[in-house]
Amino acid sequence: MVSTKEITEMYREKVTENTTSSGIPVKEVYNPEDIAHIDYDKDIGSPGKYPFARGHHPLMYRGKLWNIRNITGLSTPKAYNERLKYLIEQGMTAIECELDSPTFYGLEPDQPSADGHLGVCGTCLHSLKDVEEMLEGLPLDGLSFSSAPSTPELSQAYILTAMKHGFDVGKLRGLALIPHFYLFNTCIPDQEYITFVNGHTSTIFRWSNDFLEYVCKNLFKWNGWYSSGYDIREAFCDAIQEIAYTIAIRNETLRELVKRGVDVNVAAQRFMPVLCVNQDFFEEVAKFRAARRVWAETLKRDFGITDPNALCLRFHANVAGSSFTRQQPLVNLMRGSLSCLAGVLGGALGIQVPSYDEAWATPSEDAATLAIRTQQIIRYESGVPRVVDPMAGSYYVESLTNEMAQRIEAEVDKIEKLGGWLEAMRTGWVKNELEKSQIAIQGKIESGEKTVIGVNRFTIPPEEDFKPKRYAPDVSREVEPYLAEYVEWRDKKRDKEKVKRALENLRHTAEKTNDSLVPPVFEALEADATFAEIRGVLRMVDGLEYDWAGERISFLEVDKG
Amino acid sequence: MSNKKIKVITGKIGTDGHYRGIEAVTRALRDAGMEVVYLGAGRRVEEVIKALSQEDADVLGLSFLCGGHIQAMKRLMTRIKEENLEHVLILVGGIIYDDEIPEMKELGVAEVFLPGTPLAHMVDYVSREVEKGKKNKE
Repeated sequence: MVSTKEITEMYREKVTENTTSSGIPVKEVYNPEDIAHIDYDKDIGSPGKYPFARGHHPLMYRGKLWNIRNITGLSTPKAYNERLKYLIEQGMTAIECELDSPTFYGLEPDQPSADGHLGVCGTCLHSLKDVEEMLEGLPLDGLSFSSAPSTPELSQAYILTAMKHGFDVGKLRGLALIPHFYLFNTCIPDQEYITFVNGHTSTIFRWSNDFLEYVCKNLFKWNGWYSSGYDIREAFCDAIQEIAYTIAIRNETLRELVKRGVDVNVAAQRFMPVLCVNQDFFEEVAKFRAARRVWAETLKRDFGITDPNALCLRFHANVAGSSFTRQQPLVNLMRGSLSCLAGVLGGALGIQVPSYDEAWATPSEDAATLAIRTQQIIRYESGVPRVVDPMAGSYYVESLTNEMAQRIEAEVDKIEKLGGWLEAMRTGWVKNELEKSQIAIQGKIESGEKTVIGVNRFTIPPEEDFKPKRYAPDVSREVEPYLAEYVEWRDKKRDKEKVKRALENLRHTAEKTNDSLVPPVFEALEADATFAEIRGVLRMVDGLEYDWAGERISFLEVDKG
Repeated sequence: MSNKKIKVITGKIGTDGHYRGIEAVTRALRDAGMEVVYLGAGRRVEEVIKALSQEDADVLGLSFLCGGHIQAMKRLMTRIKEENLEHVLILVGGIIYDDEIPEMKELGVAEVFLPGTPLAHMVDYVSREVEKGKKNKE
């Protein structure tokens, strides 16, 4: 039984937090004087007007609702194709394709390190043939497609598939991702995504920049450089660092494109980062508003950009998967809806809500559907999207937006003074900053200062807890026929001479010329080279081992031998 | 009781870049006065075996967040037996389905820590079990 003392304490419980999650002190109440120093035209701007704090478009969701772009990916290309068609029927409006880890890390599916990973947490895609199967029957001319790998092979295979079906490449919608090179090997001690080799940027990194240049010049409805803020945030940093680092990476990428002769006003229009929506509701809303403002102000100040379309930040937001708990998993549905709401109030162009079984296994169909329903409740039942930037004018939100904008800008300037993002990464500064945040954030959870329902408060015994249905492509054995067929095709059915010639040409272009690697990769994909072979050849150019797991020798070497 | 610091190897095997959890655990063990060698993510089984032998470690802590843990642990445990490293306390954490925990333990994993486990709990577990192991040896 609860004692009188306990029930009294519960009854009298009050808010004790006096800072936001990124450490900004907040008062009990905000009044007109707290925003008296903020100039509406200069610091906020009407929706669709510089500096865009209120949104990228004058009409926002009255003009177009945000995309329901949930991350999906599972099992074999064929099973994933079926899941995609199902989810689109359920109301998903755009695709973010998640890969299983052997695909993500450029392995062949039959090598030892891939064992147990096939089709888990993502789909397995290893060749153009697989991508064609994944996309079978989908309306590529209307669909916005994005994918998780940092290297462009999947995006290039997607483009080839669209061409084969007669779609106009210039009209394809999508997002090409390259940012992991700005993160991995620094934030993540990793052996595959190599950014620096002997102090120089790697050939695979060059290929990603080549692809971005290709997108800028040929795919007019694709946005380049899709991700980054989300990954950085999930690597343990606060809301201010998330936006500041995203902008610092943008600066670095923009300088690279300008060096390649892309007009800065054109290049800047093609940037669309994915940011994170975490749990501190008002801070997240203010963060997005501040992000648009600093994004525009720094582009104008540092790059002399004048075109309003190029100054305006458009972003997709992923609800933080790390906020989803294994304990009491259905509670994650509430977390997802609250974060999704913050994304909507912050003016995201697209939102992803994770499935509630995130901390258990590859999402089941039921869980993935509920993640779509969460967004649909806000879209259709809540009335929230009816008015543009409804948070504007709130003494608290405007004050917090202004404070965050100043802190973000100071952090961006700090990185620029260090010599830019790549230099800050190379010297270990980034890693060090993330470690400091990690200690601070984890400390709050451990000490109980930050309540996590079901984890450090309101817990129940595991045996009484709800257990999600298990969807496990690895134990259901549904990937086995795929694997057998793939290996048979790779080892026996391909024209090996043709593959070899294409890979030799790719190596030659990488080694001996400064030409773009995009055309020889197209050629290799069409010649049936596998994704792992393409990455392996480009690793060899830098003197790295063909296979980072050390389990395969080069296709080129085998044939020479 | 020996005064030698408890020595722990931590890291991730194979194709899984989710390093946030294992780095938090690494730091907690270090803060508790243990000597921890963090191998990073994307390690090969052989690299783990080499580290265990060279460092004369008491404990190995591995983290798995995107599948493949049963298969990776099978490969690792085979090599651990071949190298006579069975005295090492093997711990696994991460996204492991409930049904797989008995299978992990059968393979030789001493304990599986699921998401949400307090770091202090893991630190206590490691200190206690290593002491217990030393006493049993004496």
